[in-house]
Amino acid sequence: MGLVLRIAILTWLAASFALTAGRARVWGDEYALWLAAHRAAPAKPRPLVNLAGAAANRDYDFALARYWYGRALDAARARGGAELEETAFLAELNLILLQARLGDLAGARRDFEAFVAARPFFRSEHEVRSMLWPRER
Amino acid sequence: MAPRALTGTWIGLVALSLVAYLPAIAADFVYEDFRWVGELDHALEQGQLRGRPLLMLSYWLQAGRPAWEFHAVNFGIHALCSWLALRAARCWGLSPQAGLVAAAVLLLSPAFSQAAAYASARGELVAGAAVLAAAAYPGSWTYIALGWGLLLLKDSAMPAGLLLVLCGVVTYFSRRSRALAVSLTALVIASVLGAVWSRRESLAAAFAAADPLDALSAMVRHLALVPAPWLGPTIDFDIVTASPAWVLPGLLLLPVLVVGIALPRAGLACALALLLLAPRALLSSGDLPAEHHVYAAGALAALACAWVYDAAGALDPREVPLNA
Repeated sequence: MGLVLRIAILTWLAASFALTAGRARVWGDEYALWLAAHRAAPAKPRPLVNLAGAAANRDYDFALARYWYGRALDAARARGGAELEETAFLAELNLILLQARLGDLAGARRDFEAFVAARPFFRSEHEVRSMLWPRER
Repeated sequence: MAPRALTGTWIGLVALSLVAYLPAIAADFVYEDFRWVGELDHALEQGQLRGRPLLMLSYWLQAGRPAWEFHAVNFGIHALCSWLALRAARCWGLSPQAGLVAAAVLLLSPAFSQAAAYASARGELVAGAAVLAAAAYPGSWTYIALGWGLLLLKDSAMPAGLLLVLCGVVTYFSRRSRALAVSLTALVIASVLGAVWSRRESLAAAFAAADPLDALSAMVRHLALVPAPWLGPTIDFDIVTASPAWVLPGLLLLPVLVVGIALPRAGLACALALLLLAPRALLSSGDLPAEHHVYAAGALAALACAWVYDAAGALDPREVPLNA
């Protein structure tokens, strides 16, 4: 095997190792994962919704979570259709939960009643619980 | 290269890859892991066992275990795939070093990191392993066993499973009775046509909603980046939850079955990888596929790198290919 080929293969191995280790670090932290997802697809609402959830889950950073849910709703409104419906459901429900966790119980109850009234059929309790952040352990 | 040196180098590559993947292996569940893996009982109640029995069985065997064990099993399957890629390269007549190139690309290219690091991507990993095993250990009974494995693995792997079972049956019988092989193939084609006809309205709606060109171009771009990921971003992180019907892609690619009867080894593996991609490309409801959906096709891209390595004249003339 020629020297040039050996050097090329070793360089490829080193570069690939570094890139894969970088990706594995991203997969090791859910907030970093969805931040990278948002950077890869800035117009998509789903990474933003998950970014908000990861913020609430990681450090109970409800202010940051509220910011990302707002961004997700903006992105979803720009796209419309099924994405808007799904994002609005997730974001609005979690924003109400954050509102309650931040102490505004009366406001949270009012918003939740409006949220339920706006939807003719509601999802199952388990499905809703699986969408809530922070995760129940 | 001596077999012991070959195995030793492969173990070294696996160890290097393990070091790179440690942060992901030690991590908690992510995204849909909570729904399908973390809350397995509920997933089973929702009927997931019907659509993907083998996959759910593998999760069930680990139920209640910590997240790192799920990630470790995924990494183990990924490492197994790299060994099968090495064997497949040897089976296709490539040099031992070329086999190691294929294994190294699979183990170290970041294009495979989502499949290896995401517990919910185990189905695609196992499907990739089945494709590589069919290439590495060709034979009627291997095809039939792996084909049934794919049919039971998950819905999106069914077209590939169907092809593999058919190839196994046809190659088994074609040695004995060509008429029986042709009849059997015609019967399967007729039954698939019947299934498509009965579902024509829902399939047409799914087809109308899909954006196959976008999905296909994203996948081709991703596959081109397998050996050189630093040249551009890999495909979308955004993990889609499409539930494609599998019959139509199976029908579209049935002509590949004709090739399968002749069984050119690389051709069969390519056909299987295409069938694993087809549901995502054709019926993805407008969403782009995620990285782990192209795992099997990426493994073949790694084998293509091995072929390029040999074709570029890197083969030591003193090395004799396995089947030379």
